[in-house]
Amino acid sequence: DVQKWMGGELAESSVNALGSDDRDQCLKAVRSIKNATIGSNSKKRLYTNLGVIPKLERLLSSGDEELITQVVATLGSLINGTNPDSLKQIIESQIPIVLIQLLNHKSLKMVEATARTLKIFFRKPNAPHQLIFEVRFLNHQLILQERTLSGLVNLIKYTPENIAELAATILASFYTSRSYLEKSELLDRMRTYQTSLWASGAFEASMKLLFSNQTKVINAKSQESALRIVGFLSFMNLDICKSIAHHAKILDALNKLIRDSSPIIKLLAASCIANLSRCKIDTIVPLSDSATVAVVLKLLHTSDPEWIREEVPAALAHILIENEDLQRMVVDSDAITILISNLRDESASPSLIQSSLKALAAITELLEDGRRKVIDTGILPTIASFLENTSIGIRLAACDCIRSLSRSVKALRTALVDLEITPSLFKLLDDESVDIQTIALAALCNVILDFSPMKKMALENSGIKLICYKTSNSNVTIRMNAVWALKNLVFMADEETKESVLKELTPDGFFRLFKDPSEKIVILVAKLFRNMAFKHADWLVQRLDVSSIIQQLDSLFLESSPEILSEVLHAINNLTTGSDDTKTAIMNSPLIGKVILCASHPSAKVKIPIIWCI
Amino acid sequence: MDSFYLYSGSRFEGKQGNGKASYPVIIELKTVDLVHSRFTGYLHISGLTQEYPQLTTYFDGEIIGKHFSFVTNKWDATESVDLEYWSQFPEFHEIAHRWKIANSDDFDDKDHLFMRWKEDFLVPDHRVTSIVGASFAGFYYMKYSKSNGMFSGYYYHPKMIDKLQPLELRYVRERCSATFEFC
Repeated sequence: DVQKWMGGELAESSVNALGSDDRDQCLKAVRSIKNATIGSNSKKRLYTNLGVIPKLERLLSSGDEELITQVVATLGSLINGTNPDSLKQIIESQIPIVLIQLLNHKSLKMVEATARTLKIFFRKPNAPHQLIFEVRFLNHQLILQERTLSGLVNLIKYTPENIAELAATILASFYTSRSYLEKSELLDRMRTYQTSLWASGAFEASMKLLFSNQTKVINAKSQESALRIVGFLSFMNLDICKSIAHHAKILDALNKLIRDSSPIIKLLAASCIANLSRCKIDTIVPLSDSATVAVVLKLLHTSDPEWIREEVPAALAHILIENEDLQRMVVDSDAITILISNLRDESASPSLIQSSLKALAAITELLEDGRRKVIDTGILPTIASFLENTSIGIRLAACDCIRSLSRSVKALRTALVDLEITPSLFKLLDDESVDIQTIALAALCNVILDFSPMKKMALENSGIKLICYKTSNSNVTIRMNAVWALKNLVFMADEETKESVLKELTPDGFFRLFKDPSEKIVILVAKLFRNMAFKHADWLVQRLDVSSIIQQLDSLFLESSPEILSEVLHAINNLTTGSDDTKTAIMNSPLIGKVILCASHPSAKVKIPIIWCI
Repeated sequence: MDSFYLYSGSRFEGKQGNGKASYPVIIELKTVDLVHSRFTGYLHISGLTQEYPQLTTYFDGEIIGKHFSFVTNKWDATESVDLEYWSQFPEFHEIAHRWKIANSDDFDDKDHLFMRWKEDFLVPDHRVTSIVGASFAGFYYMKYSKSNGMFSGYYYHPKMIDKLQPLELRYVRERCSATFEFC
């Protein structure tokens, strides 16, 4: 229609004016584009399609402060919408880096505009947050200076409250965006970031925000960002928690803030307290674990503001990690009911789904009662459907749920088999996300156990081949889970299954596994060996050659941990249950002398297998 | 050493019932979690019905003490039923006077443990809910001897005519052992 056509024409001429030599024309065009796009997703799309972004990018190096400030604000408007194209184009350009450089500008007005736009930018889940850690400021002489991180921290410390709040939020956005990364295997990555953040002085800056006298609105936002930063720093990091605990002021502040009227402040304070408490340092944590969890459980019922519903389950999941008592507390509450209804809510956002799945995975991690309660709600098919979701975070959380639930014999034989989950899990072994591959493999470890009816299906369709292949993966956790899967696979298995595994691994490949640099994996390989030898000593000896076996086991006696020794002893014992020939070969080898020596080993782990040997 | 005979894969064989109406039984433990006083297993019984000459059910085991009380409070078992069945075990009399508040300390230095076993579903097809001539709606009151790995106990079902059906099992000696853990 005419209006649309006219709008299109006007838009095109504005975009063209961006390339004008006339500075005032240019400025006018930028302003007009900014005003047109604010609040209108269709206009944002329109201008993006007209190629506005590269043109705006060029203007960023104009050196004209007023012009640049307007360009920055316009970019903020383009990012702040639902159009994925605008964001994508910006991410793929140099714009983020240029904007970060502008944070160091001498004009506070420019810094504020830039910080505002960057705040919006880094709020997007797929924004390149690692830039915060990688990009360095260029000072006026174009000499590489401090890192962005320090730059942001300085902004928090030394600039007026409105800019300080923006900088803090940019910093804090790093934590919220990567919330799906905090599985314990991935802590190494997180630790590097925590160390840099701590070294940059972010904690002190956060303290400043928590204790300064600011205008009410800014205060709330600053507190929120400060708490997010402290929460990120303290998550599963003993060293940082020890340092934090020395500041009595922060403990007092947290004690007060967990009673704040704002739900998000309550939640973030609770997370910080739980993080400190987990580290079990000799400090009086403001609140007991159960009181902290009680606060969070209550917040599960809050939907004001609406978006807090997305944050509470994820926070709960973090607090429950590896803590059975707290998981019991949550199982006994109405949390499961609320989380299930979140998953069934047709209008639920992806964040709410992901967050709720994370919480369910945590609740069912250790306790059978929790698993049964969840399974009895009939939610399993819904969880299984999330394994194919387009979002990595959702797939990962759903996979983690399945893994937690698969730790139950009953579940494996009933609800999970009805789900026909095995093909989905195998598919996830090739997921684009390494984290998902790891968890899918972990779930398969349980699915292929002897008492699982899904074992048969797993073995067909080249399941063994896939798993064996993963034993030489470059990622240590994937290797570990793959060996674990093999160990479980051959537990009480028939010779045919064991032969399939050995055929795939090959004898050489099998012995090579013993040379893995990770001790945890070597223990698992020893267990795998033990299981292979169980009831099939003669077969194993014939396949692997007895002298190679003896040599390998002998070498493990050298300076090995009690865990490894224990498995080696069990393995030797299993080998002696074979035919007389096999038994004689073992008894006449140096192994027996080593076994006898182990009888006087201090560790009970080592002594118990000796009793079997006798 | 409580758990010497109680481990994943350990088997126990014996019989359920008396005289002519007695059936061979084998149980295989699947998971053993002494920390939470629980274990799971399969129970195979032979010759019970024509339709199922070999019948296998999955069962949950609860060990009385830290997490589970002598008072059943479920499965249609009243306190008087509890007392009637627990009293079948001579070892119960030591603790009878405070049976409702017994905890794990009471068994630490004793040779026995008390348990309940509840069958839950059929293996391999858990969807089969009823079998003609057999029922697994009831549960077992059991005693376990740590020193020799023997189980003895009684099946209880509220509608059963033939009360106090005994079950006795002994450990099947195994020379080798295997291991698994949930990931």
